[in-house]
Amino acid sequence: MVRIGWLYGDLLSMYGNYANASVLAKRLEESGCDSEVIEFTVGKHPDLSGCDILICGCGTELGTLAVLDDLMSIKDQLREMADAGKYMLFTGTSYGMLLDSITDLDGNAHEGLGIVSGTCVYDEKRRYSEFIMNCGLTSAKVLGCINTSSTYKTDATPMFSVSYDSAGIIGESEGVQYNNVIGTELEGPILWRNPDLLDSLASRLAGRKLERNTSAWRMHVDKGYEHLLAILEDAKAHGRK
Amino acid sequence: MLSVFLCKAAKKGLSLIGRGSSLPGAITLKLSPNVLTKVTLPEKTIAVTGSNGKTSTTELVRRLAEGAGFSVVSNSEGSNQIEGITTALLSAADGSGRVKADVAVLESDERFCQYTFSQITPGAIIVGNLYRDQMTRNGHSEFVRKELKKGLPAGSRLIMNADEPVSASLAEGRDNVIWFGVEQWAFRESDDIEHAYDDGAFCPKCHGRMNYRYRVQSHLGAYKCTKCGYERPTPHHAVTGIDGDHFIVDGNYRVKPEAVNVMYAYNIAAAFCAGVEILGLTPEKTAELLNDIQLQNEKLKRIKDYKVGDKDITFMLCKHENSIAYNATFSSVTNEDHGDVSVVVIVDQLSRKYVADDMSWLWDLDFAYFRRPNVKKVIFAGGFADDLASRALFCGVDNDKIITDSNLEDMMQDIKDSTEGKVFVTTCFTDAPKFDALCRKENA
Repeated sequence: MVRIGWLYGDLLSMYGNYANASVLAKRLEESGCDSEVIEFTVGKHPDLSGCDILICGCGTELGTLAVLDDLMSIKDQLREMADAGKYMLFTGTSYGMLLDSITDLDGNAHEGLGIVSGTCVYDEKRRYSEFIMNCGLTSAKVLGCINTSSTYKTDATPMFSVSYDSAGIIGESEGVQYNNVIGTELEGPILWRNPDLLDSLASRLAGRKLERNTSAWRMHVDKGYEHLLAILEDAKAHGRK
Repeated sequence: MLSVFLCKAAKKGLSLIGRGSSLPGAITLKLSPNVLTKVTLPEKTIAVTGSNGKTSTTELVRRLAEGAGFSVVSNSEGSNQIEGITTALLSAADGSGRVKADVAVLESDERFCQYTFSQITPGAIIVGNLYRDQMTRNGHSEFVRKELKKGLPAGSRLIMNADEPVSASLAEGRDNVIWFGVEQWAFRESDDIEHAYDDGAFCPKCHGRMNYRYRVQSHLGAYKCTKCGYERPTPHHAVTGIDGDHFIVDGNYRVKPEAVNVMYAYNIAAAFCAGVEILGLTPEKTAELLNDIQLQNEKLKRIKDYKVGDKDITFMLCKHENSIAYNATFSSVTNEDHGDVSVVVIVDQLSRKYVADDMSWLWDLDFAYFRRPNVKKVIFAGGFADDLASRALFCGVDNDKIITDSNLEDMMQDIKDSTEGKVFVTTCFTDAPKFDALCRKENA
């Protein structure tokens, strides 16, 4: 049984981030591995200590600060889980919560979870870019997009090396990795968008290499990935913005 | 004002090559960036902004004002950023910069109000709603709300949607706001579809949890924050019921819209406010003038009929990256009143200009509508057909119903060979010309 802690799915619900938890559960179940999704949100704080992975997504900036305020009540527990090697996937704005602080538009610094050393600062400008990235979890290229008004500063180990950044907003690396904690600005259902990354994560959580998924659903997911990869590779080759 | 003559000359010349909407204003603003500050607006100037429905509402208010005998200037056929508004106003101005019309009706992009309305102050601004819309370009609705707030001058009277909590929260600290809405007796969201997301879950002011007595659509309805008490204001004017193909406004006035749906109800309610509260018409006269308006604007021709082989097709124009538009369309075309239906959804390209291929918005769409038993076939077509299909399968749509055609020629063949019942095709304006061209070829 793999227990998936899904944090603030109702408040951090931008860009279809909710799919990361449900797609992961589906992948496990289609390989005969039982899973359970445990929802955690404002006013609903089940015990997360038995979770194998915590997944948290993207919200508005103010929504993220509201979540952070709520999440600070279990800050110590989350740090212990991170130190113990539990998996965490924090995408989009929730990545900022993993750091030491988030500074809002009024210049107020909000204490973060401090699982990874670094800071996140909100600003007024919106930036959007599409990416081809590489990471150690999969040999396949990771595809995704970032739609942000934040700047991150950290000396921690980056999660991704950047191969293509359509609008040139990030630099050579992106995100953070600490033990099995992943923080990335990549948003949306990245486990749906990147089926090999999904397989890798699901296999690690299941404790065995999962067999190839040949369901109709998965065939479409794979084809969708190949289609987007071709588009982005072509854009990269031609220097399109 | 030299700028007036320049803009008029540019419009005259550029109109010949189909560039007379935005470019004349852009050229004029390049030479005189603050040119609109020198313009004298008509006594009654009504701006319209928001995520969805602003073109329709602008057209309704324009037609309402014209019907009442006012001379009207409007950018309803053109660009809704400062360049298009500059073109519209200067083209109608005399040499001193006075706009020669009784009424100006100006559609404005919600993110760009701040630039236009830093130079001119409309007497009234209709703020229709803020939804998730083209997030690759716009960001999320909280970001757009912040941008829109900068574009609502203190001197403008706001006409606001009482049912939509995000935009309605912009009324804080403003006097004299006119509220419009739709009552639950007219529309009320059914419970048979579990939505992919809920932007009404939390208060836009304090992020406390919200309660709804009822919902009209998505996060629109009778809301109240459990933490700060922020709640739906009582509308001054509202669509209060439906009688056949008519809306009932304020419990008394019958208005026949072009189509009986939620978005039209809000558009009619907003236009009704403009007629009664700003143009000074009686409710009776306003209802009479709004009755049976067929929107003529080319941008608004959202429903068209086609023939593919022996199949009659109803085409419905939608908007990629706008879940409200797609969900409303999915809800409408799968309505069991149609009997058996087949639905074709085309997503081939998001942007003609930029690298923009994020498909996360598909996870905001309610594909569960396709589970309805009267939906016999669903054809997902275009480059992103597989993304659509995987999303639908994830929602529990029967695989036997689904056909994927990444090639649009194959889609045309499948429309002819595999569809059952009434056939609907939907896509965005970026992909609509491709379908139109294939139909023309088919029927040549």
